[in-house]
Amino acid sequence: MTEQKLDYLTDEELEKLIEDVEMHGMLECPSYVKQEILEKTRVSLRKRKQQFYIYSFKVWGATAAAIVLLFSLPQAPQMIEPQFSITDKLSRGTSSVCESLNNFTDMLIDRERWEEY
Amino acid sequence: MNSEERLVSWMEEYEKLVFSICYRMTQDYFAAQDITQETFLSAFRHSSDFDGVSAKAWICRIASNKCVDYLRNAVRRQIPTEDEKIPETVSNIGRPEEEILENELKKQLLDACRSLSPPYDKVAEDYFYLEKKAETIAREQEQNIKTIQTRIYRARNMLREIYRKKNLDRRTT
Repeated sequence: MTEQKLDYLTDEELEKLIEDVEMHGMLECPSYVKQEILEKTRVSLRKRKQQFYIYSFKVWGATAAAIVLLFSLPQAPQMIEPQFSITDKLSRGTSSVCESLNNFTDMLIDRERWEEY
Repeated sequence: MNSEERLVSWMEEYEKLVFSICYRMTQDYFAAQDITQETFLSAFRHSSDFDGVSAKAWICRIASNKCVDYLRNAVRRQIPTEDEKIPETVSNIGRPEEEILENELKKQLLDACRSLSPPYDKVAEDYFYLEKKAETIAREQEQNIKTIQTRIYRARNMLREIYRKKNLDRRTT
C-alpha cells in the first residue's frame, strides 16, 4: 500500500467512485438519518425567523423610544443655561433603552440555548 | 418547489448513494451517517450556489470533500509513527461486496449496541439497529421523550467512539 497525501478527489476520480458505488451495490442509509436532517433544517429555519423577529423588535423599539424621548423632553427655560445639549440627552436615553433591549434579547437567546442543551 | 421540498427530493434520490460513498471513503458506519447529514444540510444551506446542471455530481462533490476533511482530521488526531499509513483514496478503498456485506455491517452494529452499558444498550439497539422512532421507544419503555432523546444522543457518541477506535486499530495493524 503506497502512502498518499489526502487531497480532494479530482472530477475524474469522483466520477469513477460514483460509477463504482452505483455498480457494486449501494448501502441502505438508516431511516432516522433522513428524519434528523429534516428536523435540523426546520430548527435552522425557525432559528433564523426568531433572530429576524428579535432584530426587528430591537430596531423598532429603539426607534419608538427615540421618538418618545424627542417629544417628551421639556423645553429648557431661557435664563438657565442647559448643562447638557438635547442631543446628549437623546443619545444617553436611547443608549439606555438599547442596553435594556440587548439584555432582554440575550436572556431570550440564552434560554433557547439552555433548552436545546 | 420550495427549498425543503427540493431537499426532500434530493434525499430521496441520492441518500443511498451519498451514504455509500461516505462509508466507502471513511469505512466508519457512524462517520458515514454524520457526513451524509452534513452533506444534505450543506446542500440545503447553499442551494443558491447550485448551478442547476447536475445535482448528483454537486452533492457527491460535497460528500467526498467532507469525507476527505474527516480523514485529514482523523489522521491529525493520531500520533504519527513510522509505520503510520494514510488511507489511499478511491481505487483501493474496500468494496462492500468484497469485504463487508450489509448484513455484516448490521451484525457489527448490533454487537456494538449490545456492548454499551444499560440503559444505553436497549435504546441504541431500538434506535440505531431496529430504527424505531424516539417517540415509539419512549412509549414502549414508559419514559419521557426527552430522557430517550438524551440517551440516544449519548449512545450515539459512545458508538462513534467504538467505531473510531476500531478504525484506528485497523489502520495501525
